[in-house]
Amino acid sequence: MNKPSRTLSFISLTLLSVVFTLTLALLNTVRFDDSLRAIFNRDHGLYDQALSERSQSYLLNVLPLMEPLQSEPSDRDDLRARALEQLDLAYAYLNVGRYLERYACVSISLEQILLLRERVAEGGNQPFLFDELSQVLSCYSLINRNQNELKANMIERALVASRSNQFWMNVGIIVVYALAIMLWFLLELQHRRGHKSETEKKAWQNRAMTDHLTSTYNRMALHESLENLVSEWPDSQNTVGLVFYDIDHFKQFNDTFGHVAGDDALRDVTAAVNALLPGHTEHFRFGGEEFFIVNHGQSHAEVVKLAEQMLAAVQDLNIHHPKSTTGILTVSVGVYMLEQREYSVDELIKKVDQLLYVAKQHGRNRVVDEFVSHEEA
Amino acid sequence: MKAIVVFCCIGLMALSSHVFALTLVNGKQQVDISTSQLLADANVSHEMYAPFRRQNVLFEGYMLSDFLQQALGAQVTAARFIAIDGYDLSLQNIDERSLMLVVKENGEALTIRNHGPLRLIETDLGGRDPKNISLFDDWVWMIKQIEVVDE
Repeated sequence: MNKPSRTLSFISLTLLSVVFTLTLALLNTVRFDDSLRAIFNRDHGLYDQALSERSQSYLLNVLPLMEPLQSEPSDRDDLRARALEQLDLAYAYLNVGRYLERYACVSISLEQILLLRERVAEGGNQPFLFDELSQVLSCYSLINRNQNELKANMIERALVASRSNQFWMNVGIIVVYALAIMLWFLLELQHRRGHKSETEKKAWQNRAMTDHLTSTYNRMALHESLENLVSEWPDSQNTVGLVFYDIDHFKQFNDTFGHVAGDDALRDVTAAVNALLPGHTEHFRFGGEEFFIVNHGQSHAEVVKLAEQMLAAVQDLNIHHPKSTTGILTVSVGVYMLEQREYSVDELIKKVDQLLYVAKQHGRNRVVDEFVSHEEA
Repeated sequence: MKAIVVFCCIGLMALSSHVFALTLVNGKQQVDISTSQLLADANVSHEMYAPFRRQNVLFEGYMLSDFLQQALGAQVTAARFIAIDGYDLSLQNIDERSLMLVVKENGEALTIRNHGPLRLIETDLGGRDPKNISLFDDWVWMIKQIEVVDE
């Protein structure tokens, strides 16, 4: 499991916050006021006075026609027809259910328009009904004023409702944002707990596979490594060399200097060997003073050279050992390169162990590989 | 054949009376129809809530598309409606909409004072609130002329 990325989490959180802020800003600046005004500003709006205003203008169109009609009533049939049409239109635009239902003066005004119409239709030099006209005009004023107020009230109510909706939308967005943050937090927590658990598991596994004294892998790890190796072997793309080494006369060293000094010697030797190992090499403590190295990707000559460097590096430690023929602590090394055939774990250990044995038999402090004859060793 | 005879009669009656309620124009073709003809031949009735009356009303008249088909002999998809007071409205896809030309309301012939003599209404309110008259912009009162226009 990869370690959770703090940068990625931070970017996600920032993006979420930016989206949240922008949504809130947009919601609170773009409002619905303009849409509402557009609805209520239509020419034929429900609460408009547009129809009554039209009616009023048709009625007023009649007035300039009255003087010539009264002065020369018999010669002006065209004017009379026009006046009658204007009165009919004035009637039509006032004869609307909405006005009739809401304003009592409308039905009276309609009757008065009819009365005016009759007077015009009769012809002759009759006095115009200015009182009736005045009452109709008053009715128009009432309608226009009330319709305007009605419209303003409706807009105001709609705006209040809109703002209320806006408030609840804000609340909704904040709740969604809070839930998103909570979800993000829980996921992050779960991710981090998972990561911690995985790290701890690996640490425990590592401890179980590591030799406490020398910090090399232990024998259990060696078996696991060799099991993996033989399961994938033969692998023509790779070369594998096994190096088995043992500290010479280590029992006598312990007997002479004690186990604490023996442990120090083990640590020094493995540290010196570790310093030589390339990255693709595993170092195991086989048991006691015996150590095992699995080397990947190097040729036979390179592995033998590594073994000889190990030999020299241990000598260079110059650890005094009175029971050794050289006077210092030394190691014997066996080297075995895997062939392109199948192996068992035991066979591999046995192969390299035999070579180490040869090195021991031929005086110790030396490297023996399968291509060097025992006599030469 | 019957329809042709009826429209021939209508034409003759219109010429004799010289009082035309409606003029139909399709390019160079022009058909004048009198109020009495319109009232006599009304063939559709429909009862519904009338937004401008604020009550249920029985309308009588013609389905617009059929009416234009019969009068002009052509399928009309777009038309311009001109009212007596100069109001002017063009509508598209009229053959696909439930538009009705009304000549009578609750059995009474429409006059100018009752938004006649010919009125265009929609018989299908399509879920609109009938109390909100601002939603009925396509209703045309006092129609005096219908012109066929290119869509």
